[in-house]
Amino acid sequence: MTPTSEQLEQLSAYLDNELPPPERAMVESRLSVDAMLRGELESLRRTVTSVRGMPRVTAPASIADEVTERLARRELLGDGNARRAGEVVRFATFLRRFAVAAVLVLAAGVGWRFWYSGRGETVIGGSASPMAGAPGAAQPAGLPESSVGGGVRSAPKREQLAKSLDRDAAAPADGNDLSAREEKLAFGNQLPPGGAAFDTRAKAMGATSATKPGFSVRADAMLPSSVDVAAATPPVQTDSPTAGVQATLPAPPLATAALASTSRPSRTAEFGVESTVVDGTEGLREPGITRQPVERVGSAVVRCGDTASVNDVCQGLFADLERPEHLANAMPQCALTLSASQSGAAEAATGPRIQIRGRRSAVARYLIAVGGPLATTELGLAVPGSVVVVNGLSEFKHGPEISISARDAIEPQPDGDPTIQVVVVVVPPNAATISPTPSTSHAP
Amino acid sequence: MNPASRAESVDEASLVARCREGDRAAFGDFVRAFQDRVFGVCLRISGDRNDAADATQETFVRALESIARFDERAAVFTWLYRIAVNLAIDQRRRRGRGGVVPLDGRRGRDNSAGSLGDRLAADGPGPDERLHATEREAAVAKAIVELDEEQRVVVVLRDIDGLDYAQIAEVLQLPVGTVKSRLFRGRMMLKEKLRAMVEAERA
Repeated sequence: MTPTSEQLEQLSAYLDNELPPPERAMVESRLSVDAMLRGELESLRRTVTSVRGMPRVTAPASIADEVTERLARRELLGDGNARRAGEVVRFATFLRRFAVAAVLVLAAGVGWRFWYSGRGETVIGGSASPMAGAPGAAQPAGLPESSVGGGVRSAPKREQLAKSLDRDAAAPADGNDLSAREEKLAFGNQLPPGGAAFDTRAKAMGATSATKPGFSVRADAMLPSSVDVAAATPPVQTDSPTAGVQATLPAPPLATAALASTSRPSRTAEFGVESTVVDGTEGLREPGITRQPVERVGSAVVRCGDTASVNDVCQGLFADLERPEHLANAMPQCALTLSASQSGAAEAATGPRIQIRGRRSAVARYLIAVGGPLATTELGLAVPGSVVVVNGLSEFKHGPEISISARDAIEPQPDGDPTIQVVVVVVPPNAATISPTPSTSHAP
Repeated sequence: MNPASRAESVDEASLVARCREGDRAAFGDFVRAFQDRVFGVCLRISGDRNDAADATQETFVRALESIARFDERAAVFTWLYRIAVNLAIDQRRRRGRGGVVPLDGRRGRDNSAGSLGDRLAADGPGPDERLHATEREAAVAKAIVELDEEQRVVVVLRDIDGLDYAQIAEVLQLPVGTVKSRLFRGRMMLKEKLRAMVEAERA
């Protein structure tokens, strides 16, 4: 009798000694009476043996050196905070040196003029002075206007000018002290919000773009915030797939949003039309409303090329951002994989296939919106298209694979491949479980 | 040597601890301790030595960048493999299905494997046997690389690297049952692809 698929699968595991004893005994019993099954086992064994007989390969000897060089270049051998602190120190030092140099140049220039006029020569209207027309050659405070107009300077006037120069010289020194004070503040425990925001924005900006052949992505990222997002899904409108679909996130602009604040207005998101809530491997598919604190929001415009990976997108969102404690064990690259491609006849009809594959993640849940045109006003996002809500955590680690058609989400581009807007909202793991509820109201 | 014992042959805990402390020498030791295994997995998944070398290098860079966040309760190789597999898959996807099967053993910067000519000139089996073995290896490598991605990864981790089902499940974050079924399907595909070769060898 021809072996069933289940029996063949057992044979495969039998070869690996991975069957529990009762199943193993059953397989052996069957093998003893079934010649065809024995033939299958032998054939499978030969195949496996040929694969296992592949020679071991040796990695290029240069890899270790290349890795350590790359790490050294990134200065990752030191502490990240210390590195950033060092950058600020260097910048502050540069400013101090620049200020001192500026004072010296100013003093030298004015001093030259003072010395020049002290020789009894006439300075007419100031225009003959090398400093008069120069930007920043401000008239020294407290200096009688007539003295600038020219004329032979007297000794008392020279003293007055010297005093005013002293005051000028003191001003940059104060600025120096100010820099030092700011530096102390920045390094202290009481980091000023502005300083934190600057640092955050700088890091986010540094990690927001990546370009490679056939694929380009632009991603914006911001730090965790404590605002709420409500993803409210209206009933599915089958007659008009895009009608009424709008997602709005009336949030502060990025720069402001980077400031952690609990007093900001809540952000709301209305995701419509085709909404999918995936809960673990069960694939709970209902429209739902959810209100969740937002860990992080990022959006990216993915240009459809051959293949794109959301790892690249997510790296733009997550790279170089300080991870909260509960993100400590997150995958270094990302917990999601998204591929968008337009190749293949099948996808020509359905549009790019968006595939989201879960990997282990103790990170969070993700609300992923795939849409077309991005109507963005500050951080307001309009995302018509499909929305996938993935309940993460332990359920997600088994890797539900979700494929959704994104035909309606494509934004044609006159100068190249169409693009898709992807929005990723990261929800902290300790937030309430996303649960679909009847969508009687759309937005708070 | 099976993977577990190989992994235990290096003092992983102290190596990781030294890396966490920023010991530059430990970084190199860490890479050298695992690079062949990681490279082997990447090569069989991506099918291209250059891609595999790049994926291997990137795996270690990312791992060492985030080693402070490494959960010490987990096995190091599991963690590394997870990164490596993802990178190798990504590279394979970018390259498309026209992957390169390394027939000559030296397509990239690897000088250790040697070309076919080098191998023929080396000590060991005679030229005919060596040529036959090389052709056989190429056929198997091609068959593996043509497998579906899911099956290929499981086959590589099991039959090339020798991980058991539980370890594969941990690397890929899959239930053991899924590992088992993907491996079975992959092997059945390989059996079909390699049928002629296997039967010829049997004869």
